[in-house]
Amino acid sequence: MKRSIRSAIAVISAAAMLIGVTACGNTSSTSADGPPADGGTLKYAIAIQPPAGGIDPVIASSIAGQHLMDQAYESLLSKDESGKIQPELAVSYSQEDETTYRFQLREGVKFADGSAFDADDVVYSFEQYMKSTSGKAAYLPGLKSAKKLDEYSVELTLNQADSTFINALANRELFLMVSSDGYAKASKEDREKRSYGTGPFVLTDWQDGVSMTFEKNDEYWAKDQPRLDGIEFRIIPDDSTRLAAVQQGSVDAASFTDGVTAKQAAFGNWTLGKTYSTQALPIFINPTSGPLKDKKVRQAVSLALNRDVLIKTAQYGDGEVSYAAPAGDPAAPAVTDSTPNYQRNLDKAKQLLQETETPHPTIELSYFGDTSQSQHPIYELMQQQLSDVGINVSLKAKSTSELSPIFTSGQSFDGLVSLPWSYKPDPTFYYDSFLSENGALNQWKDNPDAAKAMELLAEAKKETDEEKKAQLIQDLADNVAEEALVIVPMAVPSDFEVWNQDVLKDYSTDYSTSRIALRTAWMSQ
Amino acid sequence: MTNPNTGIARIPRARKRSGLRKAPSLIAGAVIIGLLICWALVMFLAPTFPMNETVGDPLLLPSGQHPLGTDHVGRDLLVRMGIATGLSLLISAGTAVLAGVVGTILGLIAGYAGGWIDSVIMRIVDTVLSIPAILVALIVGVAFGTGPLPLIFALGVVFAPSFARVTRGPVLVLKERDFVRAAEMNGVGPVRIALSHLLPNAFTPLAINFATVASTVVLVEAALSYLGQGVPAPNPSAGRMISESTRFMQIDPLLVILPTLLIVVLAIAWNLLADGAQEYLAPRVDVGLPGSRGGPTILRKSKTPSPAGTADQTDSTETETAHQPKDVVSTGSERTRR
Amino acid sequence: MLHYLIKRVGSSLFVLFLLSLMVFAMVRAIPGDPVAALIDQNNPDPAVIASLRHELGLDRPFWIQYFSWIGGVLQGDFGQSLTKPYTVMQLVAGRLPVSIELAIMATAFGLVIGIPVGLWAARRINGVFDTSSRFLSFAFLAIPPFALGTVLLLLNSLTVRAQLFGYVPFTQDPVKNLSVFLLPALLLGVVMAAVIMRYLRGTLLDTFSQDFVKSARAKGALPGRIITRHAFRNALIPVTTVVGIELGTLVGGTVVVETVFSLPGFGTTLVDAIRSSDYPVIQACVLLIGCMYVLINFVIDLMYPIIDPRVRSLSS
Repeated sequence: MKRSIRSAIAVISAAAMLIGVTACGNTSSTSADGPPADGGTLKYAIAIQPPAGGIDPVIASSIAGQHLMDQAYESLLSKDESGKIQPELAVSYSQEDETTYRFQLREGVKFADGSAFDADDVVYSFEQYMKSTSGKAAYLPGLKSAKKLDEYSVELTLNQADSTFINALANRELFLMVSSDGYAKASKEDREKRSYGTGPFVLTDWQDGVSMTFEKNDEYWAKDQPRLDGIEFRIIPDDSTRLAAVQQGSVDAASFTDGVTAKQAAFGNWTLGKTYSTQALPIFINPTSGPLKDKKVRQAVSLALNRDVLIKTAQYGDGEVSYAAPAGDPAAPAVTDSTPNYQRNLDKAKQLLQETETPHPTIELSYFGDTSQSQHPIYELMQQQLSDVGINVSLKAKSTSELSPIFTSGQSFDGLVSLPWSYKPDPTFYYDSFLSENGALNQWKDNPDAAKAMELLAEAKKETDEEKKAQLIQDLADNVAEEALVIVPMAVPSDFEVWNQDVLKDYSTDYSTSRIALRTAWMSQ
Repeated sequence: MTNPNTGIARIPRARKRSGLRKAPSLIAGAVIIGLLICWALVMFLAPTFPMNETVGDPLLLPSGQHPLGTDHVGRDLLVRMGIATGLSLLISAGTAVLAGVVGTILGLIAGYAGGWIDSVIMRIVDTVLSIPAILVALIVGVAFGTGPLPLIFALGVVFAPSFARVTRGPVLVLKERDFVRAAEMNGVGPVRIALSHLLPNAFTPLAINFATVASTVVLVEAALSYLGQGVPAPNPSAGRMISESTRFMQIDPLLVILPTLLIVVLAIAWNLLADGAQEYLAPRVDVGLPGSRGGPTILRKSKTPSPAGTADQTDSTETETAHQPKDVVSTGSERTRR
Repeated sequence: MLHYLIKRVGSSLFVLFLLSLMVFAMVRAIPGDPVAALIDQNNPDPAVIASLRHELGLDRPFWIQYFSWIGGVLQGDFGQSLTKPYTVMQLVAGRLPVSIELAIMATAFGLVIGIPVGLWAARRINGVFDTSSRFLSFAFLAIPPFALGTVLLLLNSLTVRAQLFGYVPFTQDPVKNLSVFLLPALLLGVVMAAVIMRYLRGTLLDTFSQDFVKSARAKGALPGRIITRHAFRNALIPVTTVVGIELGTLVGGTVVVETVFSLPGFGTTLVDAIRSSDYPVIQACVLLIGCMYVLINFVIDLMYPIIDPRVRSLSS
């Protein structure tokens, strides 16, 4: 990037700041802030409001709704920065045998409407999830039953051993506890537009397309939390307009999906939070026909990619080299120099291609044309890089509606299709969609190239020992890379958060983008 | 000067310019479009750099090597802008022509025939007008694939109704006029009447609509490219380039300014062309209001006004309102409104 | 007259019926699955998808789906949005007023600016005012409003920092509401003014060269009076037609302006629905637009003979 432009813009921005109204006072938030103060309503700009399902945790599965649900609802367990399981609504748990888990619940917790939280609510919640027709049921691989043992303990029994269960439970966004009182009595519409949870905030107002307002939950169980009186999430769909909102001073914090815009927002008092590359960009393969049938062609594709250049040029450095399990997930294995087919090697790629029937294949690559515009340069650059070894890529930017049948009705696709996904609770979930029995994108059934990977996946799902499981995941990831069962150019952050440090204190980002730090953050008066 | 035959003072016309000099807009518009076509052709046939390849650092400012700089992926902008120009020209011209032909025919028929034919056609027009352009483009895209040609077809359908409506209005008025009646009575067939009597008189709003539609298409195409219709990535398209580059606006505004300029220049060129074509083909000496600045002065009226209905004013009307064809008997007896 | 009204209403209803059928078929013909918005896209489960489809009634035969929908519509029930937690009615009722307000304000700006400019330009033909306003109108017709809007917002961010957007309903805070609509309405209005001005000028000039104007002038009528009493009404027909078309476009088609200025309007609703294959919303929106066009055209057609008695009555 031309240095002169950036410094020019920096000068102009600085000059504008002087002309502008906002004072350029302290740029760092130090301990000179004093003790945390209570009160204040935070104005936070977001991109979209929750679509279908609203914020009903049993139905809603969209990413847009998750961080909002997280303000009002909680689950039994959670995970910390390093991925270690922490208590939340359950203070402890034990595994009785292969298929049975017992949970000791936290006492003294109340829902926002004042009713007490106990084992009845947990049982009720799980029953709802099991019955639901949303995607959540798919995360409960054969939950046989949820049983109340006494007022504050619950026993969950599975149909078969599954090591992913605890991870699913510890994910903040999957199995949120709903009130067997308030939620049960509420109408479908109310469940989607109001909250019935134990979380630090309560949804009190939702103006369609304009804003969603949360207010402090006075009954919240944790001491001194939340400090904020409330949060007003302002819905601003356009990235540039959200940037303008930041610059015109009408919000205190904002989130962006595009790093370039986010960085422009982060000047003066505004800071950009730490980013986690939890959105892998897996490019799925249809190996049942065409040149990709041959493993060597697939390997050549992976070898022809210069991932570092892709990250640097197409994403301006906002990304990391990754397996199908994204690099920002603490549980994902890290790519190393020895990861098969990940180092660019043009000679080897060309040589492999010569050994196939199609040394100059034409391959179609489809991707979302109407969203994630910031990712489009990745595919355009990939096309160029692959042409260096004689692979002709035909790019097809398709609308969401054209691509959705691929994962809703298992419609087949030609060549390659890129379907970015987000953070998942358990590392094996990243491989389910294309390697497991029911996976909608599984085109590898009966394909000997994938036999070992499918075996490793099944084993990893059953393995409860943490270390052994981690090793299995590493082996699985390497095998997938070796056989080139999926092409992963990189993983990118799905979310960039910026906030005004002079106004919002003690806030930080987290890898699951749940904005959980809002419960401990405070506003300076 | 008094006309010896009729005794009516001739209203001196404004200086009649000969040939193309009476239509400077036409020349201006044609020149701009011609230049744009040349640029597009050169970039298409003999580009300095490949249009879809990274050939330099991203976000470079204009330099000797890259006269318009590079985009956010490092592709040369001179070449990309040239190709984008060509595609925009193709799509806007094609659409306006298709929509114009289809819509005008429908409007002529509806206005002239009247009755139930008019109703049916106009109801169909209403129906098509109600369907959003995006929906039409999506359907056509599915049926015929993406690319400039299906897009022209889809947008032609979308914009034909406006031509139909705009033609029908004047035709409704015109068909009551005596010169049309006279032609009918003389046995001139309806097609001939439509083409040589009605159409030329409806030309002004038509020409304006052509320009408006062509420039609107450029903007609509931008929105559609965003949805994956139209010019497919990574081929350059002005509209898509704008939406891709707004996030760089505060860093390298040129990336947004250039495609915007392209759209503006192209739209202006269309407008000039349409204006000029109308001036040339159906010149009305823009004398404006008689007596106002720029208009002719009426010297004096002679004492024997000619009886209304004779062709005594044909020579002045021929040049001043030459969009009325020559075999017309002008009445001059328009009802004035009180 | 009554006869005409009945015929017109009848044929309008027929149009709407045809439209409903067309759009119902069209949305199901294009690729896209509304169920996609309801499931976890990262972990699709075919059994879940099938049951969702059944719940939504999407696996029934086409005609049954159609009649069940149209039956509901005739009773005022437009169904539930497939991708948002609202009924279609609630969604539209919430969003439509925003677009209508924008459209009305933009049209008002357009008329207020366009008509006087057009009149004055025709009056002093080829003068300085005429040439410069023609040039400006070219420019405004050519600049994409969303680019202009984004640039203006950017300029504001770097300088004045007025709070230019952040929609509030009129009932809640009229002043803030109007201030939020000001800039987008102005942008759209200026474009409309350019269109109106050019049509007006063009047809006024056509009228000037007609004999009745010369006669009036020869009789000694003042130019201004000629314009207002004689020429103007002639020129009104194309102008009214154009305003009608533009007004219709404004309500349904201002997605990009709505996006840039963060207005929760009708255009955005429709485009979102199309992208996520939210059939009931698309169908309802298109029907609504259809009704609107039918209404506008009806009103305009009624106005033609009032403006210009030469148009033989509507029963032509």
